[in-house]
Amino acid sequence: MKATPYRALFMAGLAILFVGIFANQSEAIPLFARKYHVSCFRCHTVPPVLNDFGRRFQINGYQLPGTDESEPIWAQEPLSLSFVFYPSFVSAHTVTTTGGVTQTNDELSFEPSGLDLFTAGTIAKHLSYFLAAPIGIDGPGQFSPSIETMSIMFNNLLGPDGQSNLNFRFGRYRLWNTFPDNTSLVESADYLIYDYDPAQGSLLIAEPQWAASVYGFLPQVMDGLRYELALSDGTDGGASLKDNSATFLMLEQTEYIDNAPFRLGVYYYGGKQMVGVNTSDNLARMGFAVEANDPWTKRFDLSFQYMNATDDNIGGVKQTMNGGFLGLNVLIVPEKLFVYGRYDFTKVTETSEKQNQWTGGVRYHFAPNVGAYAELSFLDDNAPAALTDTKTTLSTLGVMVGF
Amino acid sequence: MTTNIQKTTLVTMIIFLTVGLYSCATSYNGSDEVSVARGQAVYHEACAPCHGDNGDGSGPVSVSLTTKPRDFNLGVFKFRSTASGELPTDYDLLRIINSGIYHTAMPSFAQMSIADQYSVVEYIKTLSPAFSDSTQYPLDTVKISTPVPYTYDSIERGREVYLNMHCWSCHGITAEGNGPSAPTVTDDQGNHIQPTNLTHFWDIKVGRTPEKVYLIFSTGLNGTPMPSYTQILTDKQRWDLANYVYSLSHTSRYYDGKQLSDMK
Repeated sequence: MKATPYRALFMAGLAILFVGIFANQSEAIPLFARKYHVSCFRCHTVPPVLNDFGRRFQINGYQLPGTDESEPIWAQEPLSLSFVFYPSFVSAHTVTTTGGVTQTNDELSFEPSGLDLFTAGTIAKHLSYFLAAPIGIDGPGQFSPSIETMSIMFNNLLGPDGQSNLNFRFGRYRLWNTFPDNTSLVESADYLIYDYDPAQGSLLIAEPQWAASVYGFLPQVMDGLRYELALSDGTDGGASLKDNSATFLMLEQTEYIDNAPFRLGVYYYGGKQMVGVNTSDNLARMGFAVEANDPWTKRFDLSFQYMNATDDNIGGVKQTMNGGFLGLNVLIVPEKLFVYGRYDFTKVTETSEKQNQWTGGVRYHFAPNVGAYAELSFLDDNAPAALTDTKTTLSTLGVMVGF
Repeated sequence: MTTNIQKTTLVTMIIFLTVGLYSCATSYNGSDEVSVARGQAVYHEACAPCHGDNGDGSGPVSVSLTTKPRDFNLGVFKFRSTASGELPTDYDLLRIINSGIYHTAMPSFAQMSIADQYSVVEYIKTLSPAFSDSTQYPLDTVKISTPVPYTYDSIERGREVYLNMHCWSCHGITAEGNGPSAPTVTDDQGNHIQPTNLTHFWDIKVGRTPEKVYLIFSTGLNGTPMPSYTQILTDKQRWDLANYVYSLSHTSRYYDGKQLSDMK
């Protein structure tokens, strides 16, 4: 049977209809919303994109800003546990040209996604935790649970209570920069700059990694200065810090312009990783990011990031990449309807390899915890050194259910 | 590997961070003292994202919320224990901070220190000139009378009041928030208000006991079309109505079968 985008569209339409019916009967809400009796949109412009309040909540150890809880989770009702399920239909159309020969491939697939388990909260005063454990579905009766992030946070070390000026965390987690990889509205296409990994090592700026950080939020500096200083052992951990470590420093300043948030972030991530026996790669990732809401309607959210990446030993030679992205999220109906788009680009100086990616989508929420989306993504990967040019078009229809 | 540009940027970032940390070290020290200055600092961190730095309810998060944050500059508050049109008491404001408002974006800040909560109340009162207007005082606090027992007879009488007072025009004949006027209900600022679905316990913002429902009928919700019924209904009728409304989201869900066409 030949796979077509139309068939995917039809099947996904059925799925969305099912979710719509289900949503009307759904009263379930995920972890933090359930705990604090508020909607998901308390902290998210649209899940998973955090708003200004959500970032303050996150940096205060997953506690409301201005508070420092002491009641441990085992004494709390309801239990701090939630699940997120996000299956999708994907239609992929790929055209590959190698040495003048063109090949075309069409695929239609159902991505079951598995089930992401989240638990987080207070262990004791000044002490909280976060754990994300995806449970993959490999086949009938076959599951593969794993721990993606797990961190312990010591909050409010400078005091007073609820002022998250200075905190400490350690474990396996994502470093916080202005646009974390897991808070993108785009579901079907990754940030190209975050995926850049020419050495195939374990120092990946946007992936969960073993690290220890001091971080905090200083509301006294304009409308809030956020920072993180971390020492990372990479995504695998276990390696000697002498052979495999990176330092991360991020600063992000927020200023409200007529109550529209403007954020400017800068970051540095650099260190050394082993990429073979007695072979190391010294790398540096440095960039800046901007997020600006229009001060008139406040419904247009513009994002931009630029990154410079250098590695001194990619097959024995230095390699430099410059890239970034430009995105726009538009709020059509609050808590319901959103449209969005993003353009990603990378260019490797030494090899002239270029990647350009355009993504656009629309998302509708039947309930705060139940949404459906449709996305179209186009990636052009041009590698002159390998005489290869690959163009991939992805049509994705998916749903997200959190409970 | 690190270039001169990277080194310069790193040094600049560290200086910026040091200055920021110094500024926070010189801020308030978390004592038990209640003060406007302390309230302003806490408000800036915990409340400003929704209510705005100047308290006008248009903080950065507000645009993405369906139930808009309160505009403190107006001095108009919905949930109070005072007579219709009056300011809230300090305790009314504190109760909202402490308990939150269900089915909205306003969470409970019960875990915030009580000194911080009181300080935020003091600061909120500086955001509207109404609180410093001596003609607004003394406040007339509504007294909650002896409740009419929560019985089937009381609920049935409350249903009659509900129909006779045209509560259905907003809340619907079946009290599901779908009355004929529901699509056009707005507050004084022109924001659309969705009448509460009284059959959904989880949708009810404040009136979660018969006493609290009775209080809403007695005080009204300032700034909205929901009036006070102290001059229109007897005390017993207000209790009957409160018992009926409470029953809709609990136990009996009494419904007499009347349709919208019967009301016209």
